[in-house]
Amino acid sequence: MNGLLVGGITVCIDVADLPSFVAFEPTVRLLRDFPVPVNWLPLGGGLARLSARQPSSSDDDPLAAYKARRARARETWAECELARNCERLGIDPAQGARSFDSTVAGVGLLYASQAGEDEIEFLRRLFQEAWVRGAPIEDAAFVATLFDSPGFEEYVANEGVAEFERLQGELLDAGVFNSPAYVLDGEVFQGRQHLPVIRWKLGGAEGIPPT
Amino acid sequence: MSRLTVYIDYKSPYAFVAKDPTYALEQQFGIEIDWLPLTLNIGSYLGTAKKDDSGKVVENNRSPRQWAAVKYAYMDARRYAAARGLVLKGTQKIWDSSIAAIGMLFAKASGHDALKRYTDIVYERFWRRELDIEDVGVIESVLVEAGVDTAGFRDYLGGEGRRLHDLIQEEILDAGLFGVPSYVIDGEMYFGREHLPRVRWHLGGKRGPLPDVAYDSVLAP
Repeated sequence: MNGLLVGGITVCIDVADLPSFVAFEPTVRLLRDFPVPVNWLPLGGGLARLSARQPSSSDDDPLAAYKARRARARETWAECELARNCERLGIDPAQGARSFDSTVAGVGLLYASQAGEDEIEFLRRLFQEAWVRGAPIEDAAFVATLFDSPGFEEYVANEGVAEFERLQGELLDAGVFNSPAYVLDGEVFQGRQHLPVIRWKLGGAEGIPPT
Repeated sequence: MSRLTVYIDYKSPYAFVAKDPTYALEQQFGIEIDWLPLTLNIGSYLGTAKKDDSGKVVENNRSPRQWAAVKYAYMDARRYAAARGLVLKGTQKIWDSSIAAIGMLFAKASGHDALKRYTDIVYERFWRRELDIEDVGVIESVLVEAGVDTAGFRDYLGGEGRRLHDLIQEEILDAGLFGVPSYVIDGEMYFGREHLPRVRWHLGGKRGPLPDVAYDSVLAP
């Protein structure tokens, strides 16, 4: 059981991933337009950066120089895209360049679901705290302040982290490794660029699809 | 009007799916795109593997995560290709697409329409597994079919064309280009067809706020 809904949509999101922040409000708007069950799941930062990760090179690797230059090209591109994402979010690039571990935040999303908290409002506050205010969201005591109900710190200290880590493996097995990811009728869509076709599908898949 | 340069690789499924929406920009904005090759060294970042005719993996130098990325990429490109009536069969090995890329450079000298025919033929047949893009004779025959005078092609392939191709590959890495399709306008880079809304915004004079990325092209199958 990996929590992927049948007959609804699953949204996998990583609070430590700036594109997830960019995607969050457009995703919420999309989901408000269609009355389908929604399951929010946390995706870990390490998995989310799979596609950006460069393989290591040994000294005798004939491609080492090429790999290093390609890695620099990717960094140049990443800086460019970071600036665009920050422009959309109204934050400055220094805020957008923040790097942190989203495990506790991800456990928070699991807890929000189990405790009957408003997941969307929790995520909205979490994104703002993480990226706009620079709050210590790796700290379970801080994340606990975002909940109305008590018990989050106990959940983190006990089964929460193990459940989060187990979920990461299950999501990877299901082909989900980048955030944000959307799973609709078993079909995986990674990245907010898919929102037009997801809207088209949720709307009944009539006419020519956006491609 | 700003000049639009588009970098593609015939062995990229993402570039294949991007081709038609990208060509649509020419109609929409009355421009002629400058097409250039960006020949991917896929093995350097996604590992290497080879399949036999039954789809069984017979050589494998990929991590599980690299396999996940490769499988997702083909699935993702294939579903959008299918929505437009395009056939996209997964490749059985990592191809050297440099001969086809040099063919692109050669076809450019015959004009816009010849280059478009060449690109259409190479993409369509390669992704049907009906075109060996490593075979010089095959590429030469496609050039002929596209209306390109192939006199001198083999000399170009082994000389000026190869040098130009390799020089482009050197320059683009330093410019920050590493994948396809990539779009460059006024020195600004956009990587991936999800950036087409931004490319249109840029070509249209950057009016209004920067649009978000999206696969939003609506083209009849």
